[in-house]
Amino acid sequence: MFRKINLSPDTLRWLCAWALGASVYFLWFHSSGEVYLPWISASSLTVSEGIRLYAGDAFAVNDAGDRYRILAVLVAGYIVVPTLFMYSWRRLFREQTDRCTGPSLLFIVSGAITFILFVPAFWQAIEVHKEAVRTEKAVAVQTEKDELTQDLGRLAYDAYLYRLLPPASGGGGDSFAGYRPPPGATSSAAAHSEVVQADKGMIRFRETSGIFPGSAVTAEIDSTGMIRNITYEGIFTL
Amino acid sequence: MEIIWLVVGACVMAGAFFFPGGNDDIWHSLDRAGIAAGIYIIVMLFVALRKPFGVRVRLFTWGTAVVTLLGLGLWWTTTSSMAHQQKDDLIQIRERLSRTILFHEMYPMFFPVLREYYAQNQPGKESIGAVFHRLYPNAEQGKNIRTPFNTTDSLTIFLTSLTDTAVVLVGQEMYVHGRDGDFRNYTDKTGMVQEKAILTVRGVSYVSEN
Repeated sequence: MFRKINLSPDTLRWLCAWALGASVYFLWFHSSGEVYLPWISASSLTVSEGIRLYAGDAFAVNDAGDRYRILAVLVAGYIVVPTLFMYSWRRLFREQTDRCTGPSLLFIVSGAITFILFVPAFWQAIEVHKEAVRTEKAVAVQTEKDELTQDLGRLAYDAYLYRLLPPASGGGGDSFAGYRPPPGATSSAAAHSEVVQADKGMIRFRETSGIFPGSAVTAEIDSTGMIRNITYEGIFTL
Repeated sequence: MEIIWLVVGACVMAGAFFFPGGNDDIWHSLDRAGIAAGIYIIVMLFVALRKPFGVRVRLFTWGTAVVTLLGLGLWWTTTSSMAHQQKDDLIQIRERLSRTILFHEMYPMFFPVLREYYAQNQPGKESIGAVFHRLYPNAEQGKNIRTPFNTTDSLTIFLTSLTDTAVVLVGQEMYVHGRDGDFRNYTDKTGMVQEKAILTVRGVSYVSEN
């Protein structure tokens, strides 16, 4: 029933190295080990710096320890391991030995690590690139949404100021009626703001995006200057 | 032989990593070391893949190495640009947040002043500056009149001018950078976010200064 398969020592070593590498990669490295890759560590440092600046922390962080760790991983992963792998392979290829010797073990271990560090790179690059495109679009939508909402906030105060001022000073005299958004009321040149409804006690604005057609933000301002009933349309609802 | 390769490779990479130049960004060191590692691997492959390896083994190994190194390069550069984009986004969000808070705190301070001013039987009887001073008696000229939310809240609002005809407020961030790095702020800082709100009898004018 079972046929004996004769594998050459060379094939067996390659199988062992790749199987060990694939096992470690799928069981551990892919889920939690990639943080040790130099560019992932550096990315983490860069984002941490961003979070520090976001929090308003004025003091620089001493990251010398992280730098040495990143260099150590670079040297170990991209100098030592590939060199040992190539030279142990070369030695075994020249000697054509079938014994389980030191070079064989070195070949299997360095081959497994080489597999982990190098082989999934192309697939990972494509995944990360896709993620970057998704993130870029999400950030663009959120930025536009924030800017339009901020524009509405500025319009709200401008309209409320208009309501406070007497007609002799160019105001509405306790009414929003007659208010028109000032030129340049939008932060984005492509956006368009309009008054949907204006009466004594309430004014409703609609801010339409020029970047994302069919997307808009609408808000009401009451007689106390409070912004209420903010609603989103189009891509802003996603 | 391997030892020589290892020592030379480690020295080249460490030299590239610590080569002076660029700013504090770790990516400058990392990119240089990455290029050095790529060159090292290519040279090492040239030497390690010579005879007795056959042509087919060499071609296959070179093909795999080229695809893999390209993949690593793409992964590396995409991660770098994503990380820098996220950092820039965070800084921009903070800047936008600071401007929004300053706007929503400074501008409405003038609403009750204008309301009171125009509620007088004879507008002008009590000047706009006097009304502001009456409504905000603790606001001293040249001093921060804002109470922070918490220890990381670095926003300040200064009453910079108070006359009969105008009241000027300047809102300034202490650690968040604005558009112009050389801008001289109201305090001794340089390049920080700064906004100005001016109240007159004609209304409020609001200027984003930096």
